[in-house]
Amino acid sequence: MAHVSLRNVTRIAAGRRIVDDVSLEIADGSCQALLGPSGCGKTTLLRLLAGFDALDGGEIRFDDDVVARPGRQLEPEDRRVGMVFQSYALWPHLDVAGNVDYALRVRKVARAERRSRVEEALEIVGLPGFAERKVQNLSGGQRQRVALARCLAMRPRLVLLDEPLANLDAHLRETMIDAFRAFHAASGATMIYVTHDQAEAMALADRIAVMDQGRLRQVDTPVRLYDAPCDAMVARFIGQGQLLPVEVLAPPVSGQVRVRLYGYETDLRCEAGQGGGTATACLRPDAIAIAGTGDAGIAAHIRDVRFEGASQLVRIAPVSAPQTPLLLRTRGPVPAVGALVHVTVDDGWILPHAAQEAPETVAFERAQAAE
Amino acid sequence: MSVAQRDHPGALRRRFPDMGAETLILSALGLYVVVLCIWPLARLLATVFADGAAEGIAFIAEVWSGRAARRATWNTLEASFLATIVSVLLGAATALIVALTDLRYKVLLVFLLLLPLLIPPQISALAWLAMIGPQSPLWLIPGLEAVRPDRNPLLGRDGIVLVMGLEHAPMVFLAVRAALRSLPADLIDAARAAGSRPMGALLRVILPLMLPAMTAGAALAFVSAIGNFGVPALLGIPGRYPMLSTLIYQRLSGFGPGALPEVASLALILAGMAVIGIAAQTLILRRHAAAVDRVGATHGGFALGRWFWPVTLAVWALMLLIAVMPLVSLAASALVPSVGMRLTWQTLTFDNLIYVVTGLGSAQRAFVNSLFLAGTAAVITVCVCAPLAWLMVARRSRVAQWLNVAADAPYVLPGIVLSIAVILVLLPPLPILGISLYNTIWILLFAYLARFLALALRPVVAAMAQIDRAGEEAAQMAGARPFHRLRTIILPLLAPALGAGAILVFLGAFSELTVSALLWSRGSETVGVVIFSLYDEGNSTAAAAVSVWVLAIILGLALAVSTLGRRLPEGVLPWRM
Repeated sequence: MAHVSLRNVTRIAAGRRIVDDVSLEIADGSCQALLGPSGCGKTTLLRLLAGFDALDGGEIRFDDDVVARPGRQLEPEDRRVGMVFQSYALWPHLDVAGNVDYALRVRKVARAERRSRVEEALEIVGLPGFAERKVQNLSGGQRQRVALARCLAMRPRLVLLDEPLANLDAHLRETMIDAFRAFHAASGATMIYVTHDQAEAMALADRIAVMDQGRLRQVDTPVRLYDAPCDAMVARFIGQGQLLPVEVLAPPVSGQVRVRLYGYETDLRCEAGQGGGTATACLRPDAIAIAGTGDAGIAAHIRDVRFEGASQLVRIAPVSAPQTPLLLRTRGPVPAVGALVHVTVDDGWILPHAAQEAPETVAFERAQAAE
Repeated sequence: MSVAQRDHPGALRRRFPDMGAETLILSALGLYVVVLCIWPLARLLATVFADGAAEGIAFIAEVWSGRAARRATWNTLEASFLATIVSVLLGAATALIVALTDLRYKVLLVFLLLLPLLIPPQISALAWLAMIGPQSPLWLIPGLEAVRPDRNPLLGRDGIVLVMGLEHAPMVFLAVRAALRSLPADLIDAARAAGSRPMGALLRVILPLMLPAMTAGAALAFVSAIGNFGVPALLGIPGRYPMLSTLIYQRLSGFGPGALPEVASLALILAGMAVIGIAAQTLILRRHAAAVDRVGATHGGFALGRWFWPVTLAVWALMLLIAVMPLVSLAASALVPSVGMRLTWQTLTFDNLIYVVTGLGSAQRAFVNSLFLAGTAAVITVCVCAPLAWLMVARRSRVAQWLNVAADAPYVLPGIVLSIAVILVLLPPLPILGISLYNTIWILLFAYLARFLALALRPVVAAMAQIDRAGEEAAQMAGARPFHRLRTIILPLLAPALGAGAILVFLGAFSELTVSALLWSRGSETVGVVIFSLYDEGNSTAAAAVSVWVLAIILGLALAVSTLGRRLPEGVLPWRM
């Protein structure tokens, strides 16, 4: 219900630019994720939007209203923004209904309407009949649903979600993601969702903004972010991207370019203006496959195999660059550790801005750390 | 969406921060703290240094060069130092036993140990006098009849050292127990794994790590000792062992307001000693805080094994002697018809207990006054604490944090210093009203409000810090303004701590003597003053009877607050296990 517009938003604390020149347009009624490693400034950005923190530069608008600007800002209570907290932030001295209709009492909504709105909100989040319950007796998932209902009942034009699933176990996260979707559909409010978990962001958001060290690195749809990361940081952060130096052999033709990788030639996707010479390719483990015997491919030794259930994650060391291991994911049989195999690259993306950056050499360790 | 817009009309047009309510609360609190806590102490300094720093120092030196002042200063240092040794030995030993052994009934043990926090010093002194004195039932025990003293041996230095040492042992106990609780069990286990027996681990690992806490607790006990008035007044004045607090009292009550410049100088000497002690404690704690690594579980305690019964017997015998016996003796001395009589079935009478509340005018007035003063001080203080703690913790107001520091001053400085400072500001007529509060009950209320603000503020701030900040932010998101949030979210969550704070203030103010001794006047007696006066007049029986009533009220309230304690956040009540 509100178009959110950030222009050159900057927040400086202790001499550090925690949020650095962020410009972002968030469409009315969309769900925007802010994704990034911890300490990247995403939570600070959220608190700037809520009004708990004051910005040092730039401007935040909701529709045509300026809500924050250096030195002048609208108080949080005047922004009509809802927030779902990591700690749920339910008031322990009030029951479920007391929590949900708090905002309505503040606005002096009539009793009958309060009641119907509470019931409606609890219905939507899947807790019908919970109005009289004590908050202390609810499970973590139920508490987060009450927090959602509280948000829903106040009919905010913008809802901020601050790592709302971080305190829940893996199984509950799945069902809560569905609850968030239902919530989004019912409220129609613009949603901004802060998380460090790319799977959550991809499952919920229309668009994802990847942040690192206070700056926006890329704002795109989940699909584009995965297929065409704009730089090395995004490529590594999303979907175990592995960066390798490649030699561009010919000018691009309809978004594809011929490259050479460890002596093996293949076609990768790229931007239209891709030049020749050396470039950096982003390869996903799923796009690398073990070739049949006698087929062309990169010669490599199998280093180790990790069983992942439906598939296996295989680390290989190319014969021509044994210090730069590669990860591939396969569902088929895998030869024994130490065996010589040939692998093919079926898909990949030439990073548009990363030509000057050194390729990542510790892809496996990163992948492990990310899990 | 039209409904939503109707909910909150035109809110977005307001673009300037809505600071009105907060600024208003903060200004009112600032005025309150400045008037109560800063003004009197500033006036005290100004009185001595009115003609400049050099003249002020020269004046203090002149006052100090008097024989009585020098002797009182020396006695204060001597008795406080010795009392601190008693406090450290008792406090640290009991803390180690409670925290590190499998002794049973620790809750009762801790309650008895911390009893001196509840019992005012003059009542402790009276109880010990009753226990050791020639009439004590102690000497009825076969074999002890022979050593029965003719004169009370507690009058004088040794008695002061003993009673003050016991009175302030809880401070060392609490400091050491807190440190032991944050001591990771791994450190002790590692020492055991390296081959140390429990005693070796205690000597080589635990005690060295406890040293900062012990020193900090000792500094606190020392500061309390030099500021103590009740014990030196009851044991030192008749025992001809003057200390600074009693000297100030005697000079001012003997010579009247004319002695104010002189006693102000003496008060500054006393305050200076306290400030050195507090600075030492703060410094030690600050350095210690960096060193402690708060990870891992705390130690479950060593099994005493074959030492279980000897240790149990020794600990409980000691508790019987220092906590139970004095109070029993005090009660016994209130139940005989007159001073000097032995308590037997024939002499047992409740006449004194009935007389002090029905026939003795000063005691009756004192009970009414003290109940009124303590109750009013408790209510007002709590009303101030809630918004102050909120601004300080939740709103992170710098000003509120400064006010919190300022509120500490009248509490940690010796009470006699505060009462001199309060006299200095309230003796002259008030600016606009043109009347003087001196010689009225209101000067007592003023002093109590200043003295006990910190006592309630500490637990309320501790509770406030444990409230999830997001709870208030959620209310802000719901559109609630500061006053509304304070009322609907903060106050309900803070209520148990506020109740506890109110009771702590009530307990402190109800039997207060140190501050009241110089501020009371005829008609505005307090129970602390009446106990002291009755004792001073030689009517120990009536003094004991009033004390028994006071103890009953205090212990009843302590019990009530402990029951409430189960619902309190951690760190609010000192005596909770």
